[in-house]
Amino acid sequence: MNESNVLVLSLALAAVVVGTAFSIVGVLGLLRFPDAYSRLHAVGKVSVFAVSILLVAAVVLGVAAIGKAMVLMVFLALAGPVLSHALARAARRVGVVAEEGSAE
Amino acid sequence: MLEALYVALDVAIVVHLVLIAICLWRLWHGQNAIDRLIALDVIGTLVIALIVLLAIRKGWAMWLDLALGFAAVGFAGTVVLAKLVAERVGDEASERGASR
Repeated sequence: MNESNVLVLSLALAAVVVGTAFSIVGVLGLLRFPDAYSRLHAVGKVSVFAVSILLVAAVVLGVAAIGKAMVLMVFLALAGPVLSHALARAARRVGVVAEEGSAE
Repeated sequence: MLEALYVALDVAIVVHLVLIAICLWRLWHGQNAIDRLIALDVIGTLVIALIVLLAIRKGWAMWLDLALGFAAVGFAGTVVLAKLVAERVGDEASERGASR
Protein backbone atom coordinates (compact mmCIF):
# COMPACT_ATOMS: atom_id res chain seq x y z
CA MET A 1 0.00 0.00 0.00
CA ASN A 2 2.40 2.67 -1.10
CA GLU A 3 -0.17 4.76 -2.95
CA SER A 4 -2.77 7.06 -1.46
CA ASN A 5 -4.18 8.30 -4.74
CA VAL A 6 -7.97 8.40 -4.73
CA LEU A 7 -8.31 7.01 -8.24
CA VAL A 8 -6.03 4.06 -7.47
CA LEU A 9 -7.82 3.32 -4.23
CA SER A 10 -11.28 3.46 -5.76
CA LEU A 11 -10.18 1.22 -8.64
CA ALA A 12 -8.80 -1.30 -6.14
CA LEU A 13 -11.99 -1.07 -4.08
CA ALA A 14 -14.14 -1.74 -7.14
CA ALA A 15 -11.92 -4.68 -8.12
CA VAL A 16 -12.15 -6.26 -4.67
CA VAL A 17 -15.94 -5.87 -4.57
CA VAL A 18 -16.44 -7.26 -8.08
CA GLY A 19 -14.08 -10.19 -7.46
CA THR A 20 -15.90 -11.12 -4.27
CA ALA A 21 -19.22 -10.89 -6.11
CA PHE A 22 -17.86 -13.30 -8.74
CA SER A 23 -16.89 -15.77 -6.02
CA ILE A 24 -20.35 -15.55 -4.47
CA VAL A 25 -22.02 -16.15 -7.84
CA GLY A 26 -19.81 -19.19 -8.47
CA VAL A 27 -20.67 -20.84 -5.18
CA LEU A 28 -24.33 -19.96 -5.70
CA GLY A 29 -24.19 -21.78 -9.03
CA LEU A 30 -22.57 -24.76 -7.33
CA LEU A 31 -25.40 -24.88 -4.83
CA ARG A 32 -28.40 -24.15 -7.04
CA PHE A 33 -27.83 -25.76 -10.44
CA PRO A 34 -29.48 -29.16 -10.96
CA ASP A 35 -26.78 -31.45 -12.35
CA ALA A 36 -23.01 -31.80 -12.53
CA TYR A 37 -22.64 -30.42 -16.05
CA SER A 38 -24.45 -27.16 -15.37
CA ARG A 39 -22.54 -26.80 -12.10
CA LEU A 40 -19.32 -27.07 -14.06
CA HIS A 41 -20.66 -24.48 -16.47
CA ALA A 42 -21.18 -22.04 -13.59
CA VAL A 43 -18.01 -22.78 -11.68
CA GLY A 44 -15.48 -23.12 -14.47
CA LYS A 45 -15.79 -19.59 -15.75
CA VAL A 46 -16.67 -17.59 -12.67
CA SER A 47 -13.95 -18.81 -10.33
CA VAL A 48 -11.16 -17.98 -12.78
CA PHE A 49 -12.43 -14.45 -13.27
CA ALA A 50 -12.74 -13.87 -9.52
CA VAL A 51 -9.06 -14.50 -8.89
CA SER A 52 -8.05 -12.50 -11.97
CA ILE A 53 -9.98 -9.44 -10.85
CA LEU A 54 -8.54 -9.67 -7.34
CA LEU A 55 -5.10 -9.81 -8.95
CA VAL A 56 -5.93 -6.59 -10.77
CA ALA A 57 -6.48 -4.99 -7.37
CA ALA A 58 -3.13 -6.32 -6.17
CA VAL A 59 -1.32 -4.92 -9.21
CA VAL A 60 -3.02 -1.53 -8.95
CA LEU A 61 -2.08 -1.19 -5.28
CA GLY A 62 1.52 -2.10 -5.98
CA VAL A 63 1.51 -5.25 -3.87
CA ALA A 64 2.25 -7.56 -6.79
CA ALA A 65 4.60 -7.05 -9.70
CA ILE A 66 2.63 -7.00 -12.93
CA GLY A 67 4.65 -9.83 -14.45
CA LYS A 68 3.96 -12.21 -11.59
CA ALA A 69 0.26 -11.39 -11.66
CA MET A 70 0.18 -11.95 -15.42
CA VAL A 71 1.82 -15.37 -14.97
CA LEU A 72 -0.83 -16.35 -12.43
CA MET A 73 -3.68 -15.02 -14.62
CA VAL A 74 -2.44 -16.87 -17.71
CA PHE A 75 -1.97 -20.05 -15.72
CA LEU A 76 -5.51 -19.84 -14.33
CA ALA A 77 -6.96 -19.04 -17.76
CA LEU A 78 -5.23 -22.11 -19.19
CA ALA A 79 -5.97 -24.42 -16.27
CA GLY A 80 -9.67 -23.57 -15.90
CA PRO A 81 -10.92 -25.06 -19.20
CA VAL A 82 -8.65 -28.10 -18.77
CA LEU A 83 -10.11 -28.74 -15.33
CA SER A 84 -13.69 -28.31 -16.56
CA HIS A 85 -13.02 -30.67 -19.45
CA ALA A 86 -11.45 -33.31 -17.19
CA LEU A 87 -14.32 -33.14 -14.71
CA ALA A 88 -17.02 -33.21 -17.41
CA ARG A 89 -15.32 -36.16 -19.08
CA ALA A 90 -15.15 -37.98 -15.74
CA ALA A 91 -18.86 -37.26 -15.17
CA ARG A 92 -19.68 -38.62 -18.60
CA ARG A 93 -17.60 -41.73 -17.98
CA VAL A 94 -19.08 -42.38 -14.55
CA GLY A 95 -22.55 -42.06 -16.02
CA VAL A 96 -23.90 -38.87 -14.46
CA VAL A 97 -27.18 -38.21 -16.25
CA ALA A 98 -28.03 -34.66 -17.25
CA GLU A 99 -31.17 -33.19 -15.78
CA GLU A 100 -34.33 -33.34 -17.87
CA GLY A 101 -34.67 -30.30 -20.09
CA SER A 102 -31.01 -29.26 -20.16
CA ALA A 103 -29.12 -29.58 -23.42
CA GLU A 104 -26.85 -32.55 -22.88
CA MET B 1 -10.68 6.10 1.22
CA LEU B 2 -7.97 3.82 2.55
CA GLU B 3 -10.20 2.88 5.46
CA ALA B 4 -12.98 1.95 3.04
CA LEU B 5 -10.56 -0.28 1.15
CA TYR B 6 -9.48 -1.97 4.38
CA VAL B 7 -13.10 -2.56 5.38
CA ALA B 8 -13.88 -3.97 1.94
CA LEU B 9 -10.87 -6.28 2.15
CA ASP B 10 -11.86 -7.52 5.60
CA VAL B 11 -15.43 -8.16 4.45
CA ALA B 12 -14.15 -9.96 1.35
CA ILE B 13 -11.88 -12.18 3.48
CA VAL B 14 -14.78 -13.13 5.78
CA VAL B 15 -17.05 -13.78 2.78
CA HIS B 16 -14.46 -16.07 1.23
CA LEU B 17 -14.09 -17.99 4.50
CA VAL B 18 -17.88 -18.48 4.62
CA LEU B 19 -17.89 -19.63 0.99
CA ILE B 20 -15.12 -22.14 1.75
CA ALA B 21 -17.21 -23.46 4.65
CA ILE B 22 -20.24 -23.83 2.34
CA CYS B 23 -18.12 -25.73 -0.19
CA LEU B 24 -16.78 -27.99 2.57
CA TRP B 25 -20.38 -28.80 3.51
CA ARG B 26 -21.03 -29.53 -0.15
CA LEU B 27 -17.92 -31.73 -0.27
CA TRP B 28 -19.30 -33.74 2.64
CA HIS B 29 -22.90 -34.01 1.35
CA GLY B 30 -22.30 -34.31 -2.38
CA GLN B 31 -24.62 -36.42 -4.52
CA ASN B 32 -21.84 -38.37 -6.21
CA ALA B 33 -18.09 -38.38 -6.69
CA ILE B 34 -18.16 -35.76 -9.46
CA ASP B 35 -20.09 -33.28 -7.31
CA ARG B 36 -17.50 -33.70 -4.59
CA LEU B 37 -14.68 -33.18 -7.06
CA ILE B 38 -16.30 -29.97 -8.32
CA ALA B 39 -16.63 -28.74 -4.73
CA LEU B 40 -12.95 -29.54 -4.14
CA ASP B 41 -11.99 -27.61 -7.25
CA VAL B 42 -14.00 -24.60 -6.10
CA ILE B 43 -12.37 -24.77 -2.67
CA GLY B 44 -8.97 -24.65 -4.34
CA THR B 45 -9.91 -21.55 -6.32
CA LEU B 46 -11.42 -19.85 -3.25
CA VAL B 47 -8.25 -20.51 -1.26
CA ILE B 48 -6.21 -18.88 -4.04
CA ALA B 49 -8.52 -15.85 -3.90
CA LEU B 50 -8.17 -15.77 -0.11
CA ILE B 51 -4.37 -15.84 -0.37
CA VAL B 52 -4.47 -12.93 -2.84
CA LEU B 53 -6.80 -10.97 -0.53
CA LEU B 54 -4.52 -11.55 2.46
CA ALA B 55 -1.52 -10.47 0.38
CA ILE B 56 -3.28 -7.20 -0.47
CA ARG B 57 -4.52 -6.62 3.07
CA LYS B 58 -1.20 -7.24 4.78
CA GLY B 59 1.07 -6.07 1.97
CA TRP B 60 2.85 -9.42 1.77
CA ALA B 61 4.07 -9.53 -1.82
CA MET B 62 5.62 -12.94 -1.26
CA TRP B 63 2.20 -14.58 -0.87
CA LEU B 64 1.57 -14.20 -4.61
CA ASP B 65 4.19 -16.93 -5.13
CA LEU B 66 2.28 -19.04 -2.63
CA ALA B 67 -0.89 -18.52 -4.68
CA LEU B 68 0.92 -19.59 -7.85
CA GLY B 69 2.24 -22.75 -6.19
CA PHE B 70 -1.18 -23.56 -4.78
CA ALA B 71 -2.77 -23.08 -8.20
CA ALA B 72 -0.28 -25.47 -9.82
CA VAL B 73 -0.67 -28.16 -7.16
CA GLY B 74 -4.46 -27.85 -7.09
CA PHE B 75 -4.65 -28.11 -10.88
CA ALA B 76 -2.55 -31.28 -10.97
CA GLY B 77 -4.44 -32.82 -8.06
CA THR B 78 -7.89 -32.20 -9.54
CA VAL B 79 -6.91 -33.53 -12.97
CA VAL B 80 -5.42 -36.69 -11.45
CA LEU B 81 -8.43 -37.26 -9.20
CA ALA B 82 -10.85 -36.78 -12.14
CA LYS B 83 -8.84 -39.27 -14.16
CA LEU B 84 -8.83 -41.74 -11.25
CA VAL B 85 -12.57 -41.47 -10.67
CA ALA B 86 -13.32 -41.79 -14.41
CA GLU B 87 -11.21 -44.92 -14.82
CA ARG B 88 -12.13 -46.67 -11.56
CA VAL B 89 -15.86 -46.05 -11.53
CA GLY B 90 -16.18 -46.08 -15.31
CA ASP B 91 -14.63 -49.54 -15.48
CA GLU B 92 -16.91 -50.81 -12.72
CA ALA B 93 -19.95 -49.39 -14.50
CA SER B 94 -19.00 -51.03 -17.78
CA GLU B 95 -18.41 -54.34 -15.99
CA ARG B 96 -21.92 -54.17 -14.58
CA GLY B 97 -23.20 -53.84 -18.13
CA ALA B 98 -24.25 -50.24 -17.96
CA SER B 99 -23.78 -48.63 -21.34
CA ARG B 100 -23.00 -45.12 -20.09
